[in-house]
Amino acid sequence: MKIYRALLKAYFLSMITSISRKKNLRVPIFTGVLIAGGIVFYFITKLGLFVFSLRLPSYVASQINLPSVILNSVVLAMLIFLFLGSFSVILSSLYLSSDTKLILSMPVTQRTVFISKFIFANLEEAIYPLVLVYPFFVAFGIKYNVSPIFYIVSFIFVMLLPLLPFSIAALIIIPIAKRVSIKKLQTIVLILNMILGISIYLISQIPNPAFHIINSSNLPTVVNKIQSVLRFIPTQLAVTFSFAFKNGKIFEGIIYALIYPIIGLALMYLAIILSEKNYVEGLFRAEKTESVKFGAKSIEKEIRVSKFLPKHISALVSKDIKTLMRDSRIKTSLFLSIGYAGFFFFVFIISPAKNAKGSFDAFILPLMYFVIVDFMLCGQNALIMLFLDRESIWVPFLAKIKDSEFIWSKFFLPFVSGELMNLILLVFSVFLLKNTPKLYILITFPFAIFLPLLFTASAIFIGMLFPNFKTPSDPRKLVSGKAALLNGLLYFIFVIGAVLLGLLGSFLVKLKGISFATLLMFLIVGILSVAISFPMLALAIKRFRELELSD
Amino acid sequence: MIETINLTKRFGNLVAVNNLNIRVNSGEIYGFLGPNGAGKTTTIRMITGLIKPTKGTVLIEGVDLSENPIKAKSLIGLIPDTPAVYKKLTGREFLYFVADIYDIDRKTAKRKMEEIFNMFSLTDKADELIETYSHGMQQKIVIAAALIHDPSVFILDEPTVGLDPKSAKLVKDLLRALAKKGKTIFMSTHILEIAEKMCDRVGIIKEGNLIAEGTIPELKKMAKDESANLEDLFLELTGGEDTKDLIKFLEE
Repeated sequence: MKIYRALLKAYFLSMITSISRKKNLRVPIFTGVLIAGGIVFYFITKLGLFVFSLRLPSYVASQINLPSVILNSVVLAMLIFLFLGSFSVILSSLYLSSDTKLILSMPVTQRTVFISKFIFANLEEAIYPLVLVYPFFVAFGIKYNVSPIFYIVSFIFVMLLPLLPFSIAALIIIPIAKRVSIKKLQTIVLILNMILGISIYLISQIPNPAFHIINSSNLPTVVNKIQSVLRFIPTQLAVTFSFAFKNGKIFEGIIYALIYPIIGLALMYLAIILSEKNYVEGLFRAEKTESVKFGAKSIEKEIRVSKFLPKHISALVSKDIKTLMRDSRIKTSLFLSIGYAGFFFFVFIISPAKNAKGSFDAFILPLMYFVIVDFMLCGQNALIMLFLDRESIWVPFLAKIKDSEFIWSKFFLPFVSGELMNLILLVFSVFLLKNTPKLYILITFPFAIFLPLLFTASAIFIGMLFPNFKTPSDPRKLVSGKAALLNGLLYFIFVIGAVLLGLLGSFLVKLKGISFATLLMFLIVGILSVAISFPMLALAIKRFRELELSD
Repeated sequence: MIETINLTKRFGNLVAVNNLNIRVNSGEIYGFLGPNGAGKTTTIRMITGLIKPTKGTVLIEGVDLSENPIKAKSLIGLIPDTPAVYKKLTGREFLYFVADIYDIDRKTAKRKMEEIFNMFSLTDKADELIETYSHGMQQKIVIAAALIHDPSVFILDEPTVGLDPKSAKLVKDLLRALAKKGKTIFMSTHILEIAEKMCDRVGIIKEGNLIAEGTIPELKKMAKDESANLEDLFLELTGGEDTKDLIKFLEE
């Protein structure tokens, strides 16, 4: 136990150290993050209390048990998130972490190293369900005044949510890692992630009447038939044990709450057994780099793919494209962004737009969609692009290029990809919706045009406020530290801004009609985006000029 | 020509480099020596514009680095101590990229590239990703990148680290040839034998201050024992506390 404690402590301390290079800033930043987490927790609990108190119209209330739907949904959303990330998390933690070889050279067994790394990965990821899902259980407890044991039991349940996806991922990755190179392994992980994402989405859509996969009139029958199985689905287990506590059946509640962690632990045990003979072998297999030969002539042809750009920017962009396409970690991140874009496309556009009745939906849903998707495509990827040079940044820094050329080269790809994706999805949604409401097209257009500009510019500005060209010790964290944190916070501000804009749009439609509201929205979104983006880019260029490349 | 005038760098209360005045003439190989943490790398970073001096001026071929950074930097070829290059590019792609950002036309770049690949025996590996190269090969590709745009000033931080004896000899010969062609070579090294055999002049820095400068015979005159080699001289001037501590530790 002493060794486990020492290893976990070391991992934890490295995590804290990665927050800031300045020792005296680590504690304040860590405290700040904890306080921010506490505030988020508080507001989500309040939100939970609010939604649990909602009164549905009687004809809906007779068919839907709202607390059950809410608990089901939040646990499902978190499980999707955990399952989607599980392969990358396990691959990074177990095979790509730079300290593993050093630890293995110490007098510890490989079993100890495997278990400690696996547990730490679970603990590290548990922060998401604890901050985002546990408040709903707290709200449920407060609302229905359940036994205090419920808070402990639900805490354990929520904290152990990553265990099942991560154990399954470990069981799949360990045998594969022994047989293929790291490059192939990363590609396999990418494919597995995509298959998993699509599968989870399709499964979650089976009972969705909007897709008519199951005739809505038959839905109760179908649900009844599979009820016995559903009870053991993780999301349903959460509902079952919560309602057992609500009904005062504490023992039954505890039993149901323990089923999920027990299954997770059993799978984790299997993963440990599987790792005994395979982990270290796979680890050293993963270290080997296969040489790939590229054709010299094709390189000369493709070297300046973006000829229409100025020469220096073109050279920088070409270099970035090649780096992106050859780095499977980044590729995974990009493909996941596109996957999420597709996912939200259905969630926010197709499904609601088919049933959209009010003008509010027409404003708020496309807006939310573009905020989420453009943030992932532009906001997140602009940070990745900005720090893509890593320790090689001295090469362009020393060359005869202008500061603005470097910043524009980083702006180019996320911005263009955001615009392209928006355009494709806009056309696609118009085609899919057939009788597209004019309002939808008119409103979506300014968002599609201006949000990539705003998100790319703001991410580049934030990145240059806290430049970090160090290669992260944890390969999962392509972008980490203060820039990523601030970018995430900014995202929430944009979401709030989007909600307010949506409400304003909805209000304007009622007040002045569609034409006026749309024109005004176009101007507001356009002027705000341009007025914010260009000064931010100018400041980013200034920051780059003042940048110093020391250790 | 490189000239530093009262070059100073402070990190908070720490004075990393203090009023450094150095002049390296064209065609000269200047060795910059000093113990760990003496300020060698900080000086190199200031001369190449990677960090900004707190005070003082850097002139590259008479061009003020702070006033005209792009022109001054275009005259420099840097070979850092660690070969941090784009590992997801092939050697050829990396050199084309460097050629592009230094405005070298494709034809010239291609011709030079072939010469350099031949010289460093990299032709077979030119179209493989740099991440598959050994440390020494990565160091060679960094040297190749510095050569491709034909700078008039070469700044090298521990140039032979990681190179096998044959490649190290090649680099030494190359530096001599470049100096003969009138290029300015500023080189920091820990290998005193290289400094002794190759450098026209040597500067020794300790705790940010230039404590000695001159040709090897001039430095020997400064020392108490004129028959001493550069290693003895270096230890005498820099204190050699590390060596004494090491001997004490081993004795204990």
